Amino acid sequence: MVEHGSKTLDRTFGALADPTRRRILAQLAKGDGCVTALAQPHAMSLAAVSKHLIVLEKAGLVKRRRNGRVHSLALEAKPMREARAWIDRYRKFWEGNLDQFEKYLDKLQTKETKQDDDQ
Amino acid sequence: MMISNEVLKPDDATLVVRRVLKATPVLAFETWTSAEHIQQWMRTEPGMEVPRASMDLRVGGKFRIQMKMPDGEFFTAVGVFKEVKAPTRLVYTWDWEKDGSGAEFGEVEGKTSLITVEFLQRGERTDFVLTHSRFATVESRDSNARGWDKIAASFATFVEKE
Repeated sequence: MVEHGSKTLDRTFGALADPTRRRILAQLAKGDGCVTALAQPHAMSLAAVSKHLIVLEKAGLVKRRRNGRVHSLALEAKPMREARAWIDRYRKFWEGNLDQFEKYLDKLQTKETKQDDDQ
Repeated sequence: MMISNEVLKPDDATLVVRRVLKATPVLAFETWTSAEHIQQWMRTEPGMEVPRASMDLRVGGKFRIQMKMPDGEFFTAVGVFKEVKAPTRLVYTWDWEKDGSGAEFGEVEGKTSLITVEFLQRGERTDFVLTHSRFATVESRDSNARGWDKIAASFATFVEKE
């Protein structure tokens, strides 16, 4: 269960813990956006949106492109893929374990029933 | 009849696994939490063994489960119990030891996650729900899970496009 990029993961999930940032990501998922467009649906100041964008950038979830004075933002998929990989590893781990847990429980029950019958 | 289903939410890093167990919550809880039983059932792959297991089943108590793979490699899980409500609910942290081959607690990787296990009585069966979250606290996990579902779909589409 060796994990790679754990620091990135922590930043990713820290960034995702905020509902506004998740909504910003949802907007970005529909297409690249400029800061002004992103601020609109949130009834928020540009400065407030910028703060959230910086957190998302640091988490590697968003990439900023500067074209003169216009900044445009785009989603970065890599951290999400790492998150999915984390889940996949544990899914495999628990699925395998639970199969065995169920089998073992069955075995215990069969033993108990047999003992009851014997009495 | 075995019902087995699993809900996977790739975007909030919380894995939820559900099973219907043909046992009472009391037996299921006992089997899940006793070191002796764990050594018998914990097998993530054929040929894996659990040479050592210890469970100090109380709030603040620690557990350690040493798993040995068929190739000789050790994977040792350790954690602390946060909630112990026999036989219905169990919350504990989950971490891996860096080395894991020793007989005692060793240095951990520090990538602590959180596990919640629930055993809910349904007649003679038990609804079993295991939640494994990247987040090490209940609060951060729950705040993250809220509202995130809605955008998961569009996000998944994006990720698959990449």
